[in-house]
Amino acid sequence: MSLRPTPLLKNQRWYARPVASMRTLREKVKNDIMAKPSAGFLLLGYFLLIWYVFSIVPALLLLVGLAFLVYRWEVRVLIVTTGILLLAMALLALFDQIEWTRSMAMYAFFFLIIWLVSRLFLFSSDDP
Amino acid sequence: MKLSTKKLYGLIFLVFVVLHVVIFRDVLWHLPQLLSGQEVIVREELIPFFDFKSQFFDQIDGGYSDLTSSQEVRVSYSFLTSWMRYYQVLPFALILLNALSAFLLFYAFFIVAKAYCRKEPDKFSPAALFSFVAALVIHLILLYSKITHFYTLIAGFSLFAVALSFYLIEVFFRSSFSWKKIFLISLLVLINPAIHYHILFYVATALVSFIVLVQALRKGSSRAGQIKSALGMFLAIALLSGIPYGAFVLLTSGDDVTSSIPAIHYIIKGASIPLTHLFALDSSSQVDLFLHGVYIPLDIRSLKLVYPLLILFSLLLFRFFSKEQRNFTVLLVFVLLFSFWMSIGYTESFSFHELLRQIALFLDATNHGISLMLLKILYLFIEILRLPNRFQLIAFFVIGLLLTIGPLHILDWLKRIIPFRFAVYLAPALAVLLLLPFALMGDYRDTLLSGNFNGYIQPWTVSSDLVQVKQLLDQRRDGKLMVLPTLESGRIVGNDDETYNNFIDKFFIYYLNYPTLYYGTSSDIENKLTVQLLYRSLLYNQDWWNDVMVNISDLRYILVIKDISYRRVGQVYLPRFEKSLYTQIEKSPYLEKVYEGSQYDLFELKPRAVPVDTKMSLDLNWTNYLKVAIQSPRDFVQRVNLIPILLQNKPDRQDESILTDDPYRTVTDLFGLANPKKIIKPSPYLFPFDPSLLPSTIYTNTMPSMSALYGTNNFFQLPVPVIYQVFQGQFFALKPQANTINLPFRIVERNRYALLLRGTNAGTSVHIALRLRDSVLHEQNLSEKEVPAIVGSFTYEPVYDGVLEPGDYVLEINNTGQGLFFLDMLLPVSQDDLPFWFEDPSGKYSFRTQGRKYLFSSDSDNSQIPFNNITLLHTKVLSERKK
Repeated sequence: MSLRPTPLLKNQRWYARPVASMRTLREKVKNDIMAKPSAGFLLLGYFLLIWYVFSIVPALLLLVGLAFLVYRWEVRVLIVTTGILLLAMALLALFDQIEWTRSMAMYAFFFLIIWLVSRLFLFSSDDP
Repeated sequence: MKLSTKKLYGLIFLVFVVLHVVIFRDVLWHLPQLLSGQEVIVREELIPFFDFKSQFFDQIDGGYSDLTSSQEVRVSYSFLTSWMRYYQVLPFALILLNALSAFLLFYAFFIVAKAYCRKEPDKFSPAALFSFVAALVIHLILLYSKITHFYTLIAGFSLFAVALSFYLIEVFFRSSFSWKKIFLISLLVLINPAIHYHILFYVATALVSFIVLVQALRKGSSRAGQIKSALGMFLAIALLSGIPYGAFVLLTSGDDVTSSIPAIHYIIKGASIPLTHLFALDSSSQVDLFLHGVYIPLDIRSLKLVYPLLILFSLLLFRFFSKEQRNFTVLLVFVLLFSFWMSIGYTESFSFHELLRQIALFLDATNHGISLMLLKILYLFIEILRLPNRFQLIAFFVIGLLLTIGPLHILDWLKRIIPFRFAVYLAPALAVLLLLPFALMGDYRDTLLSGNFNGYIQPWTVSSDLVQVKQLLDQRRDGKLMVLPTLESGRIVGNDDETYNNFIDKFFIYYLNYPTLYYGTSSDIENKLTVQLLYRSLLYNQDWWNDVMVNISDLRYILVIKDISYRRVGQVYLPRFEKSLYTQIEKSPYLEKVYEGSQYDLFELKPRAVPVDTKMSLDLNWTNYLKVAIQSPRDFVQRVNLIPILLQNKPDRQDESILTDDPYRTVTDLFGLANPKKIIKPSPYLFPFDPSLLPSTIYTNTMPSMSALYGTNNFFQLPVPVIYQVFQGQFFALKPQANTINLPFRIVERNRYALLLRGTNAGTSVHIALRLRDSVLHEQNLSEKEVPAIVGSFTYEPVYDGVLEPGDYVLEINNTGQGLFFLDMLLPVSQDDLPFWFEDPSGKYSFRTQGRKYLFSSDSDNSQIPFNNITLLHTKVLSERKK
């Protein structure tokens, strides 16, 4: 089941849809985790293991990636996040924050990979 | 108004021609002067002279070029378009070939876009518009970054794009197996003038085939045709294009180009492109080097992030995509991310190169025939592509396609939310948005609109001095020429108009079309090392360079560049070198000035008083070498060939006398020279992957950078002039703290052997193990020594003495200490080869090899040698067959 935004009603502000989407996403994340606590514990275990073996950044990225795959959340969130990261990268580059710029690019790259893996292996061509 | 496809193609080509006329309009203004040869377009490696005989046919057998005295690979690989550099063709090629390249790129994108929306013919018009804009965006980025090699890299990219587009259409949209298309694609791959695209094409098609297979397998048996098409076409094209091209490369390449064109870890790391720059479509660029002094500016050009953002936005609109379109877009994103992953080189720990590194180290450690073959394939793959930025070219193609098809969906979406009356303006508005970054980015705008590429291709008058030097040399044509100082050092050269230009030394070589001792970037390592001795002397304002020069085989003329300045940005090597050169060359007793001009002088070597063949050779450590070169009386040094025996190209040595400070080393060196197949060097296959091994090629890639080896400002933090006296022009340093290197060798007959390690322990402890398969036959620790003040010589250290049965052995060297271990080579010798390593020679040395016996005797009377610790070793070579 994918996450679908609530329809936009007449006279609603332009930001109504993204706000509604965020609200729905938050609720879905909460519900999914509550519905499948074993998967949640497994993910937490992976997260701690990767954190212990490597560091927190790959652990977090893996956690996000696996959560999207396990719970089949809306993958457009990943595309939006990638876009925001690229914009942040441009902004940070303006202020010569080279290390942060590099980190943003790396996160954007990984979010795109998670999107691609989801598209390749989890979604059929009919899913939006 | 509806245009037929032919008319559309004609119109687009015309637009591209006009665009390039505008971009290169200064070239047209100077056309009469350019065609007459008074002015030329020259910059860096863009040399406007091409001679099929000297630059292609003379090199086709083995790749050796008399013109440059080096193995040449690049010219022969790209002979299909190299001739476009010719000065009377170049002005037209700049406009027409680049326009054709841009058109082919448009064609490549458009045919895919048509296949992509073949069920919606109303989208063909916007598809044509976006194909044009996407081709223009990618072409302009390439033009800015690869203008120097436009006839190979830009033209090749378009051919690569067309071939890949045909492949995508056949495999993805048609699922066909068409021999006609296979032949066509193979032909397009074969005629590609840049070798990189041959490899890149197979990489890209392999990725496409993989994803098509994954998608087909998810769909089940209904995609059997797609699987057959993906695998069948890939293999058929690889066979039809790969085998003939492989044969061509083998035919035109020399045995070994690893020392002249090294693919080593540090160079690959330096040319890796960070993810930030990949997202911003920034590529390494000669124009950036010209404008800013670096190939890749540290700051990204953020405005170009519009392109990935636009692509991302189109991915949000998947609901407007058909099933097929979704699968195709996913395929493109996969290829894009994969090419990004391959382009980041060693900048990230998760990169493709890091993975290859781990695989290569594993394959080397297993030391099995098959694993070593796989390692060699990995090495060849990296050796050909060398710099990770080559993989970015795949990304450029995919981004071009995504910029073609993505806006089609954005257009669909916009049509739903924007009133109908504005719909007609949407496609042009999107097209303008795509081109806007080029108008806003200063470097691109200034360069593309300046008419002369911001001065990069400003026509430049050939100096009248140079014209006269050419006329003079054309009449003489004997011996070789050498150019001093090298321009491949950040120097720029003036002309009659007092305008300065920077280019590589091949400008002089190709313009004069005269056999030259080329010692620039892609020259043979022996040339660089020989000339480096000359530079070392001149740099210290010493005069022994004369005695090096007179011994350079066939050298007859020296072209001295006088009108020199330094480039405004970027590094300049050996500053003030020319000051010493001009002083010294005027004082040279061996040179006669045969032409004097305001910008160039030509010197001729006077007939040599002592023939080189009758001189004493030498094999000395660096300190003693300098003693002989600097402190010897003139009448003595005139009788010495200051080019050490390891740099002399003498396959068939005769009776001679050799100055030596270590007879054991000298005789063993001569044995090594006579038996090059017995020399075991560290496998070059690990160089691109293993940073624990520091090869001297880090510094010998360019000749001026070799001067770093004479000081402490290098990776070794030691002066290591030993480079002048090593086998095959390179040595290695094994980094401290448990770094290991394996030297595999084969013993074919049972005998008593000594394993001689030529190298130096520079303040470290080393553990050595001799292995036969899994068993350790011998272990030894080389004791820790003090860090030497200078590494001026390598000695032979016997690390094993005993009987060895036939088999494949490995000598494992493990640097367990804190210092460096320098290694030249391993020489396994039997007691029949070099008996003096097994029993006391009492001053008599000898060895037999290839039907000849070499007898050595030290001179008991050392009175003619002006130094106590140097002796004269006489060599007598007897042919045993005659006996």
